[in-house]
Amino acid sequence: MNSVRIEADNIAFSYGEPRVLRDINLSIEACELFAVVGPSGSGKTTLLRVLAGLEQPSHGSIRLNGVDVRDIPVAGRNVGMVFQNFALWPHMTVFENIAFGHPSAQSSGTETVEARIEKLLAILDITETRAARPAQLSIGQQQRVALARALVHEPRLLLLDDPFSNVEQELRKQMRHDLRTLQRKLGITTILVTHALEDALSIADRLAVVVHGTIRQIGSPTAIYDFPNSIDVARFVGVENFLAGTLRHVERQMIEFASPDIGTLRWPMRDRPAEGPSVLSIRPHALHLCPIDSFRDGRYSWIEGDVVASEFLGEVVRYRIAIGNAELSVKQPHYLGATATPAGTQVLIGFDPSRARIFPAGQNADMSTPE
Amino acid sequence: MNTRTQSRFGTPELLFMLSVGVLIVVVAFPMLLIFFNAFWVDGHFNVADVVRVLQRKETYEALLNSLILSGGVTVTGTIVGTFFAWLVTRTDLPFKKTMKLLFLVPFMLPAFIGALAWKMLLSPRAGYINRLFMDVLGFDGPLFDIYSYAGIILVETMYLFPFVFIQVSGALERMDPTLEESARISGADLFTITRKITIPLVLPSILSGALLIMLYSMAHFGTVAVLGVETGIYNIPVLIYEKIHQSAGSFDSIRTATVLATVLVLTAALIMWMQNRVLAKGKYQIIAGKSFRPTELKLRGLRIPMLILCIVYIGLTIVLPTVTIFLVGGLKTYGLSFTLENLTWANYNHILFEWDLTRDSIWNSISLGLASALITMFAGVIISYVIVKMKVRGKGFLEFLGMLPFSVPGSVIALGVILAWSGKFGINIYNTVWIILVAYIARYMAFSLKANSAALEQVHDSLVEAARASGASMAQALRDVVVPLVRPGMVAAFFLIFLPALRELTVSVLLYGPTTRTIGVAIYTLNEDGETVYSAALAGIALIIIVLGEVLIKRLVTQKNGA
Repeated sequence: MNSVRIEADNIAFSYGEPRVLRDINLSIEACELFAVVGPSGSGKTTLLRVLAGLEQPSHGSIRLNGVDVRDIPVAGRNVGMVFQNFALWPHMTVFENIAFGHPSAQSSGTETVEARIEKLLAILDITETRAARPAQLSIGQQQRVALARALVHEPRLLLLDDPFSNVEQELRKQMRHDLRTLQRKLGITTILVTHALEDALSIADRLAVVVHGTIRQIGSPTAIYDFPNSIDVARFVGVENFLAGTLRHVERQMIEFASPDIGTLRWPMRDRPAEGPSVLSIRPHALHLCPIDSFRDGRYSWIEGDVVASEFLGEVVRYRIAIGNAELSVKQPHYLGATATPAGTQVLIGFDPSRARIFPAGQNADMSTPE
Repeated sequence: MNTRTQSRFGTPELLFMLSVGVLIVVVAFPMLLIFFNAFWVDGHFNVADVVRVLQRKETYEALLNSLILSGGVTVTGTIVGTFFAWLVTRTDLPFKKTMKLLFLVPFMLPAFIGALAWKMLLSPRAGYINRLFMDVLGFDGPLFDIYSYAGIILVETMYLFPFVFIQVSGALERMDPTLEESARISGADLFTITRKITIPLVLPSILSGALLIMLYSMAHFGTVAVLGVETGIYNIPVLIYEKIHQSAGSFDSIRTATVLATVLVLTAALIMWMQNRVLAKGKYQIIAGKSFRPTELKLRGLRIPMLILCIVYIGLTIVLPTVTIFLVGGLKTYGLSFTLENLTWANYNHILFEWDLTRDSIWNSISLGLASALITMFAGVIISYVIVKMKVRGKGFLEFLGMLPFSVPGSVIALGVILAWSGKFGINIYNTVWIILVAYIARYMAFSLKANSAALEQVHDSLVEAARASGASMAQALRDVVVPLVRPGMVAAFFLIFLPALRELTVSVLLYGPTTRTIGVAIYTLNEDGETVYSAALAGIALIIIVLGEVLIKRLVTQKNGA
């Protein structure tokens, strides 16, 4: 299929005063499955609509295979789009929904439209629904009809606006797996917008994290998960603990982080961040909870604290631990028959500082806002 | 009676029996009397006689006229309503929000007052506009004769088009914009999208609004009575009125009236049935979740002409008739030109403070409106409680009884009330204010049931159960939990009844006696008697009362919502 490379330069968009998008720069390779993630209200759907041509950017340019598409109307861009609520036309059958529109749809090459629809229905395993109305279909079937409608005109670019958001967990896993397989098979450039990190991490080649209308980080799923470049991104990818303190460079390759809550920690780091007020962040499951009288293994740094609350989540137990004036969130794997440590118990927290990330303090004004 | 039902006869059953009793006496009994009178001649069932009545010239002419007029109004009203709804929701017309509110104003104005104003402006010889054209501009004939089918259709269209306008603009606003966007992405142009996506999706709303116009126009008395009398154009309600009034009490005229009423009821039932079918068939889920603004059509060069069109339309339907009513109401004699020395406050003073007939009519309308609104509100809340909340058998029957008058034309209700309460069954309240009250209650019960049921549906059973679980008795639970929650519904019901009752004409014109004229009747009869100036002055007062009432409700409702 004729897939397309897409570039966006310096896109800005606003409906009025507050800017919805600014300084958006993207470059997506042909055949890539690219995910755009971010908290709700961050502007990711608007970005997708701008790329589709449903909205005109107030600034910047979009190029498909190097051609500026500013003056090409929606219909001429040859993109397929699946909307969040699927937007299937309730007064048409599945077949009519898929066959609708496109002046060029009469025939393309040797294949008739009808044959192509039949083929898509078969690939998506919804052949038996062809005469049904959307209201008679399950959510999963509706999504596949919407996908078929988006793909029938052999678009150069497929846009997906949170297509899993209305779907329950188990079906969701199946659907995203199917989507990935199909996308590979067709080799079509695809942009997936989602608010659910897991969807993006599991199937995307690369992802962009959008917060407050700007792209904060672009990278592979593991890069973004392991090495978030800012507190906002860290928060979005599930880092819960942020401790304020001061960073100093000591010796060669060594840094020292001093915080009123956890005291002073030292560990080696190759690309040392700048000295000064900083924030140390670490994931809840990178912390280990031990009885207060345990042997303090030299590989870890150890802090004493008190259990404030525990929450049993199934696979893990999440504890809130008070340390000085701060609170840390710790996730411990749950084993058969184990009971949660009761609140009030004194405990030791051990952690490997090299698994922590250091950000300059004051980088984000909203650091303290809870998610 | 078996033991099970005996032991189960408690408060719910008592309330149920009571509700059924009230509705049978007030609603079902008068209606049944109409059918009985129509089909029961000389002690036996007789259809041939009904056919004979229908074959009379005046009868089938009335039928034909009703069809022509309501058909015409339905077509024009639907076109006008749909067009303006599209204009204010889907284009970049300037001042759209204001325009949208202004298009709803004709709903408040009683159509027969509009008809009165247009008669003053466009009656072939005396109308001010026609005279301007003939006397000043030198035309040979009148510009437009309002005493015609076209005239009647035009005036009714002006005041009934909001039925379609409200439905369609609502549907267009609620419609999920992504349904149209996905069509754009599929490569369709605006024309194709409008034809294949937008119109099919709002078609149920268009049709249901159109059927409401038809239902209303079919049963409408005022406009046809005011504009058709000179040229002999009459529809079924007008003929019923003439039969009852001009040959008071004669058996033949009552029978003719009941046959006409039967036809009217059947037509209305047919329309309601069609509307239910349209709504059931076209019930698409097209409501938007996350809303982006729908694409607006750029009118470009047509933007200003369209705005002018809207302003002219609003000027013609609202401003011009209202101003005419107030000016004519201030004239020393009808027919004088509108100069300052011809205008006086004396007419308004006379009808408000000096003349018993008009003063009484205002008092009658206000007290009838208050009484019927209060009674229907309380009866409605109890009956809807039985319908919505209580698990009694046969509540579907109760609902049917209560909603019946919703589609039954006013003239039919009035006729039924006459048959039931003028002495044949031991009670004679004919010519008193009580018969009008009974008719109003029957007519407006459905309004109250609708508002109260809607409010009660939202009070979930578990709220009462929670109160009972906390130790409250059933009475306490009702008083402290249910009543506060349905109070907004009751308030809404009160105003939904009070305001239309204030300007009611169709029912009261069949029931009024020498001292029991309502405002509507007084305006109508003064006009019939040639007292055009006083009629206009009273209409002006009525408009002021109506507008004040509407403003008051808006205030109350917005305060309630804000709290």
